[in-house]
Order: sequence, then structure tokens, then C-alpha cells
Amino acid sequence: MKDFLQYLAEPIAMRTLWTCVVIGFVDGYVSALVVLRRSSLQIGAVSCALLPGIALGILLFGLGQWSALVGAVVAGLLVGLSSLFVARSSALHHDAALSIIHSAAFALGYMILVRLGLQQKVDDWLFGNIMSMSFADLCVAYGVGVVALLGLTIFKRPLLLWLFDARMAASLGLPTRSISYAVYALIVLALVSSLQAVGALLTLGLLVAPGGIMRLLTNRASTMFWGGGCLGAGCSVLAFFVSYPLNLHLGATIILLLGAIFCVAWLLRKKE
Amino acid sequence: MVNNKDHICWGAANPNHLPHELRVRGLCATYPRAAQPTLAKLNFSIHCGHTLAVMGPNGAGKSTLLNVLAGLMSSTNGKVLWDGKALHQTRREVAWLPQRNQVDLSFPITVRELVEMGRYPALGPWRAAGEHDATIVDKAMRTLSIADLQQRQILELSGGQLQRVFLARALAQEAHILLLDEPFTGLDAPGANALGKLLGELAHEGRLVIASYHDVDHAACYFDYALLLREGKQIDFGPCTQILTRNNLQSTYS
Repeated sequence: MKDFLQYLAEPIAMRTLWTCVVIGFVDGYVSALVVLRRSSLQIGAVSCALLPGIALGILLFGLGQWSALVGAVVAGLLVGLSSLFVARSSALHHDAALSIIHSAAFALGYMILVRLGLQQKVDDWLFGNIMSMSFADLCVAYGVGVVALLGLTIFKRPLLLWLFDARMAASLGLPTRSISYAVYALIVLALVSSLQAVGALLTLGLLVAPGGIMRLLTNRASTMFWGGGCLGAGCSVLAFFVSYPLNLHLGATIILLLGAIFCVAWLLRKKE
Repeated sequence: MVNNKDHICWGAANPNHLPHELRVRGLCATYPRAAQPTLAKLNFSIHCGHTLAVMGPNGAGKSTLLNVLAGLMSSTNGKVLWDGKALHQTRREVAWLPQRNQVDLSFPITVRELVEMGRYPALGPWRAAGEHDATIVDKAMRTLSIADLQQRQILELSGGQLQRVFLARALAQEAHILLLDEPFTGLDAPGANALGKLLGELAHEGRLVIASYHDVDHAACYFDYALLLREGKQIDFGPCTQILTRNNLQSTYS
């Protein structure tokens, strides 16, 4: 306990705590969108596909925050859009195309990282290392958060219409294809911003669970967004305080806590 | 089914003016990568106040025509005019009614919120709904006798109720053209009769109801006009009582 209080006094502890709050909130907020869009599995596939982007970014521009982040964003967009393109231009269903492309990309990324001698880093990319997040990472998370909150608030009406009834949206002349690309880009950005904190494999939990839990408890879309954000932030902070004294992995603790809350919420859910 | 005590003339045809007219001229549409045009040179015009059944066997182009009218698909040739102007310039005039499986029924939305969506085109993305909009939404719900369902989630509704909710949304939109894709599918006889009567009443108040429809035997009961299609070509168009002849039906279906 004494150790923990000492740790809390250090600046890195404050930064980690802030990171938990910001990333938890942003991912939780965006998770409502993922749940309403019914694209959880797709996002899971894309999050794994970020690995080769990181690897290629490091390969091309050297080991650094920005090279990894830019690589991840590019890979996320590329894999998502290419699977969409494959599905549109062939008889293959979108999820099959996505599964093939993302697992191949994942294998490629792993191979490059091992070849570069970054085995130690691989663990961090897969499961996250919130302690190693720099100030720049925190700024990226802030930026994504601001874009997500502003975008979803300003365009709430067309967005909800598109989510619920894309045909009506299209018949009223809304640019539905642009909306779907913009939403996809926003989700990938949220994914990338939390990549270092919870890793490529666990980030899916933070990007689905809060919205999913809120859906069990509420029948209002806006409550799902704000509640998801608060739940994500709250869980992350709680995990921060639990994981250090018990010597647990912080990223995994966040996801496990969300899983536990999901079980409770399912028991308390509104019966349909 | 329409509550007559609360009858509101939603842009009902003013006797001093000509009713609105939908005019389709040489309309062609082709799906990407399709060898043959899905719709080939359709020609018809119809006034508000009528119900039109788009009929034909599977693959005749019924849904394609509705998609083009709704602006979900672009035509490759020809014109769709509304009172002489291109229809796609006045999108608010067209209300598309989805089938049950075309919307996400698990979406967290109440009946009232869904009907309020009909006001979005008038309000744009940012303007808040005012008293005027609330009045229109209330009237639309009362007209379709769904006012007592307004706080229910759409997941709890039956198929028929959901259809009335979507019709109420179209009324709240104040659209003159209602497009329905296979609205009678899955309804039992009393349900179909009620829907047919309702569509007729909505049309006679000054709207144009266009629906794809299958049943040759009952078309004349529910619709004033019919458009017969086969492989995207127009076999005939006119009042049901005149064009649903043995000859026409044979060239459409056999």
C-alpha cells in the first residue's frame, strides 16, 4: 500500500490515470456507435490488422510513436476498405473477405516485428502497456475524443437516421456512403488512440463493452453514448487503482472489469 | 382505420388547383454489371388522390422502379417529373416505407421518436423541433391510431403496428408520394383489407400511394390503378378495372 501511495505521487502515475480517463471515455462513447452500427466483429478484425501497419511503420520510419500510429491508422483504413471492395466486387461476403485479409495481415505484421527483433514490443502492441504511454499519445487520445464528441453531437440527427434506416436517409439525399466511411474512420481512430493502452487484441473490449452494457440498461440512444463514455472512464480508473496493488496488467484488468459489469448488467437487463 | 374526427387534409388536393402529378417519361434503369436494362422505357402519369399497384412476376423490375422513384438508385435514361420538375429536386415529397426486415428492430427508439424522424427533412440537421412539429407528429399518430403506442419501443410492435408507425412517419414528413415495397406480404385477410382501406383513404386525402403488389385477384379491391411490368418492360398502365384483362395478365405472367 505504501508503495502504491508513493507511486501515486509520481508524475507518471498522474499521466497514466489521465490516460485511463480519456481513453476510457472516448472508447466508451464511440462504443455506442459500434454497437448501434452492429459492427463489433468487423472492428475486432480490423484491430488485429493494425499490427502489420505498426510493423511497417517501424520498418519504414524507425521505432517511434508517430511511425507506429500512422502505420496503424493506414493499415486500419486499408484493411477495412479493401475488404469492403473485395466483397462488393465478388460473390464473397464481407465478413469472409475481412477475416481472410485481417488474418493474413496479422501474420505479416507478426513476422516483420519478429524479424526486426521487437518480440518484447509485440506483447505491448497486442495487450497494451498503459505505463509506456507518452504525452504525445495522450494528446492523440484527446484529439480523437474531441473529434468524436463534436462530430457525433453536431451530426446526431442524420447519424441516427442513417443508423436506423439507411434507405430513408438515402432517399432524402443524405450522403450515406460518405457517412459510413466517416463513421468507419472515426472508429479506427478511436481504436488506434487506445492501441497502446490496451493493445490490439484487448482494445475491442473497450470499444464494444461499454455501449453493449448500456444497451442492456437503457432504451435511449443518447444515454448509450454518454453512459458508455462514463462507464468506460469509470472502469478504467477503477482498474488503475485495483491493478497496481494487486500487480495485475492494467489493460487486461480494464477489460475484465467491463466483462464482469456486462454479466451483472445482463442479469439486471430490461426484459424484452 | 383513419380517425375521421381528427381528419386533417395533409396537402389534400385543393379543388381550385390541379392535383399534383407524377409523370414518368421513357424511364430506363440498369444495375451495375447487368447486361440488360432492368427498366426499359416506362411511360405513365398519375395524379395525387390515387393508389397505384406496380405488378408483375419476380424480376419484372417492381422494386427497381420503387428504388428509382425513392432516389435510392439513379436512372440511366428518361425523366421522372413531379408537377413538371425533376422529382429528385423535391426529395421531401417522397416517403419511402421500409419493409420490416429492412430496419434494425433492436434499435433503441420509441414509436414517437420514429414518427418524429419524419420532421427531419423539414428541420434539417440542427434546428430543434418546435410546437408546430409536435402538433404534426401528434396528428400523424392519431390519424393512424397509434397515439397510445407512442412510448413503446419498436421491438415490441406487431408487423401491422410497425407498418402504421412508418405510415405515420410519412405523414409527419408531409410527403405527397408514399412508396411501399410489398406492403401486403405476410398479412392475413383482415389485415390486408384494413391496409388496403387505409392506403385508399390516405390517397384520397390528396396523396399518391405507389406499392409493389402480387395478387392479381385482389388488386382491383385495394388499388385504383395498375402498372403491369414484365422483364422491365411496360405491358400496360391504367385503371385496374380496365387493364386487368385476361390478355394483359397473360402477357404479364405467362
